[in-house]
Amino acid sequence: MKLEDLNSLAKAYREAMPYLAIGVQMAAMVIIMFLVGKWADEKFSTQPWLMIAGIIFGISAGFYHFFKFVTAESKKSNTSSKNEN
Amino acid sequence: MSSIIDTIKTSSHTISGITDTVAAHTEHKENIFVELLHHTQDSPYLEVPFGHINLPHFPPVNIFGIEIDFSITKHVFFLWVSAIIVLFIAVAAARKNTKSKIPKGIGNFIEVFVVFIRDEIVIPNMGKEGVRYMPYLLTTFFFILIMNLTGLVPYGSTSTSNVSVTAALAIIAFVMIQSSAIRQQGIGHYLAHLTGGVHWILWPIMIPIEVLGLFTKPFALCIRLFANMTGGHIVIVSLIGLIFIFKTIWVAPIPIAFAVGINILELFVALLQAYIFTMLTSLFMGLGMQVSSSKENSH
Amino acid sequence: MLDINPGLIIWTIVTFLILMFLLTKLAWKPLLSALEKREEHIRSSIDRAEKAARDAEHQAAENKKHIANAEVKASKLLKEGHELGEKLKAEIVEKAHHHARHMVESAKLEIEREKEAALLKLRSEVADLAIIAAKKIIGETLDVEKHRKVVDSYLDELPKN
Repeated sequence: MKLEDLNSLAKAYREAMPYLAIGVQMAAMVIIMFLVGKWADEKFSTQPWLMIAGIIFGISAGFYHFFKFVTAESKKSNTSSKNEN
Repeated sequence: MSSIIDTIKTSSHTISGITDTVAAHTEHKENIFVELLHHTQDSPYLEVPFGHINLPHFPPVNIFGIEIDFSITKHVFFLWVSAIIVLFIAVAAARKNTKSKIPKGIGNFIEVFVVFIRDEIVIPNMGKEGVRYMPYLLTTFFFILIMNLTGLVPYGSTSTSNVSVTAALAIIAFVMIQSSAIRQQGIGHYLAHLTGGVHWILWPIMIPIEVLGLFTKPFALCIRLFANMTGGHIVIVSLIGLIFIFKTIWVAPIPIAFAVGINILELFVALLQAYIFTMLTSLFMGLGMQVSSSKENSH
Repeated sequence: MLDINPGLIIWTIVTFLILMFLLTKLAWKPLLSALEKREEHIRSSIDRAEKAARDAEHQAAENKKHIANAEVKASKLLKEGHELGEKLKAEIVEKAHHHARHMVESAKLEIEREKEAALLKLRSEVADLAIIAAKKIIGETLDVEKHRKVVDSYLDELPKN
């Protein structure tokens, strides 16, 4: 593989990676909050309410971060494309 | 039975470690996959061509109410092996490059990666400021790469297929992401950023959401690396397992051909995952650092 | 499979930090500084080479100008030399002509003088002869001195040539 190919591959990954990562992060937020809720439920024996609350919080946080990221990213790509022109 | 194992051993070196485990359990067909999966997991002994070597075992230590077992396991051992390999290669490269003006051999090889990480990862994501964090990112890249590769060597094991190891790497990444952001923005701006810029009444909701966002980034790093490194091994192990399920040598060439192919793919995955981990860490560091600098740039 | 082992986490962090410390000191700093030095060296070499090329171009232009100048000068000099040669030649020829004419002139004068001298001698000879002849004819009566005067006066009356 030539170095130029590698660099263009790296560029493609660099540009696509944030979008791929945000999906995983969204899932991660739900999973983390699910685990935290489950742990808290066991600790305070409030099954299953804290787990449900955790999942809802995780989902909403996931969406919040997703939209925040997408708007920031599209703004960034707009300004960079303007700069190129 | 031994003839099958011999065939496999001569056909593919990389799976010879697995066959030993498999050979002992072929009678229990239903347990094969469970046993095969054990191969990717941590164990208190090393697998060698003539059996096992037990590693030192220490009694658990109790710190702050948590039982911590500092025993040297297989993954700790390969962690150190990888660290020594990285140290050896990098120091050799540095010696060679400082001695001669034109880099050759290992010096040139390592320098290609160093230049790539600097020009294709650090500077695009973090700008010139990011060069300060080059040693951390270089160490991350090479350490993860070598850890990923040690599992592809016969009797080797991939430490990064252990979630504890990737979690530890993610903890370090978390600390680096936060400290670089605080260093760049100052603690005040950093904390102000956590409130999301909303009215203070919404802070009790906003702050947990933002804090959760800080934690999920390294968490995703940890899970991604762990899942990718484990996944590849599971595929190889499953392919080899097919031979024992069909209980005939005649199907052997197909899974072995696949396994060898997957192994080559694993080489690529090892490199790619090391790259992705480094790339995303520097991207997250850059995101934290550029909150203030992007405003300056926009004017 | 997803069991977290705190001991392994701590081992990983400790290993990583030690590795990072050693690598930063022994490998990354020397590597990066060597890389930067070389890049700087390459950049300055390129700059120097570009400057040298520019200088060479400049020098070549200068040389061309010099050569053109020299050519003009040389042709001028050649022309001048040629002219001088022509002039000298003309002068020499002129001088030679002059000299020749002068020689001819002086030769003519000489001839004239010789002729005069010869005439003078002839005349005195003739006078003497005439006296001798007259003496012989008249017979020695005449006073030589007296006669001489007579002949001279006669001769004076004669045209010069």
